[in-house]
Amino acid sequence: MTPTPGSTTTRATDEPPPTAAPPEADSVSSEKFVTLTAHEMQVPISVLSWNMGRLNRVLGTVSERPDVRRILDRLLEANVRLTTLVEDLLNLAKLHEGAFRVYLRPIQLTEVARRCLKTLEREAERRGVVLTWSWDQAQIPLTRGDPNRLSEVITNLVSNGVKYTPRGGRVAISIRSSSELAPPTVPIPAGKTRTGKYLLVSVEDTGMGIPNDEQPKVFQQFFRGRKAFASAEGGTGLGLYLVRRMVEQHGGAVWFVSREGYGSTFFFTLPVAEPYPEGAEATKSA
Amino acid sequence: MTPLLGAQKRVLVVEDEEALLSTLCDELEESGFTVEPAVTGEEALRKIREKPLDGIILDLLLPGGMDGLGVLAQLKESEQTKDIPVVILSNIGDDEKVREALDQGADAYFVKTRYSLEDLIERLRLLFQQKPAPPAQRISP
Ligand SMILES: Nc1ncnc2c1ncn2[C@@H]1O[C@H](COP(=O)(O)OP(=O)(O)OP(=O)(O)O)[C@@H](O)[C@H]1O
Ligand SMILES: [Mg+2]
Repeated sequence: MTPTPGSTTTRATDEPPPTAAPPEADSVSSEKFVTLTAHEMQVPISVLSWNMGRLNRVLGTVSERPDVRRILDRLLEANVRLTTLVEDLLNLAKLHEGAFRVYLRPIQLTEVARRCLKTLEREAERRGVVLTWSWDQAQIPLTRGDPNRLSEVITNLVSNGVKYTPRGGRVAISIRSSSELAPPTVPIPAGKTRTGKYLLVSVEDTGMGIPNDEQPKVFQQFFRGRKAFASAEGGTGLGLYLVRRMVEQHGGAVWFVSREGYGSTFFFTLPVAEPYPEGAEATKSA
Repeated sequence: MTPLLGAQKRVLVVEDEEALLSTLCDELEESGFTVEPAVTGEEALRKIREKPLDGIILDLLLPGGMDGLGVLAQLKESEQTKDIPVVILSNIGDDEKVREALDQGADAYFVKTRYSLEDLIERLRLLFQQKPAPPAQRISP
């Protein structure tokens, strides 16, 4: 048995679509209950996070006490986790209904990224992981995207990087232009051309990496790696599955390279916005 | 009277959840906006007709006869109000309604759980700056 040298590339689309078993009557109603409850939970969660953000700004500036800082950090972190869990649940419910939507319009991806990273920075710091980002604003064209969805994509990838990187490690995000949807090693859907104008986002970490035998599975629903599962890290294994669905709905691709013990880099691409909106889009421009 | 830089902008906040409404109002006031709260579609329309507004933050699900989409439709029908920037506040799962609101001319949408209040207010400021474009800034050939 020879270990695979170096890193391997795995594409996001090589798994067959999940085949759902016909749901039984009470599994349908319990799914509905979960969806309804998750939906209702958005109100108290928003109240919590908006007020916690405010409290953080108020107390953070008046109190020098380290214990206050720690309490705030824990609250903020728990709230981010709670929010993510509920979002994942609702997104999953939407996917099951087949009603998952993205609203594409020209946006500045760097703005979305900046906002996500600002939120995640504190969490990284608390874990002793250095979070850095770099892009040349002048070189980044507008992309077609849904800022709400793309912020979920970025948050998922970066929080994985932070979660699966031990103290002392680094997570680096970059955004740049690219002339291909995905590199030649990554298969793309039939009928799609590989070349075009894209933005390429990469999230690179110096963390634990993904073992070769697990690499083909990470985009599957509910898949969690052995180490992730055994660790104290919470998670449902939905993050990357949703990332893939969202990126593909934007007309982009997602893939990664990883080497166990050394780290992982996740990539995704998004089509650059046409300079002149056509068709239905034109009606929206005043 | 020429509007001063940083003149107070009047914003209508339409949200039926009391805790969310008061949080939003507090924060907006703190950031220098003048805030008009409304908890139903009917109340929102009344306030829209009462005084000129610089922007509207609109929840989609509202109690009573008129929801956010109804308010938006009425807003877009009148010459006086059709250009007021509208930011939709939505929840995950409101996809259909969000689509409709954007089609009807809403300017942006925010998923409540995804945005911090700071971000929301920052976006609001940008929106106010963009609209309406002062004629002096048009590039002439
Ligand atoms: N940056 C990474 N480094 C190492 N392993 C990773 C990384 N990202 C993902 N993985 C592996 O892929 C698995 C699936 O990731 P995914 O984000 O879908 O789920 P999760 O992080 O376990 O849970 P959550 O639903 O909270 O995101 C993880 O459990 C982990 O084993
Ligand atoms: Mg994850």
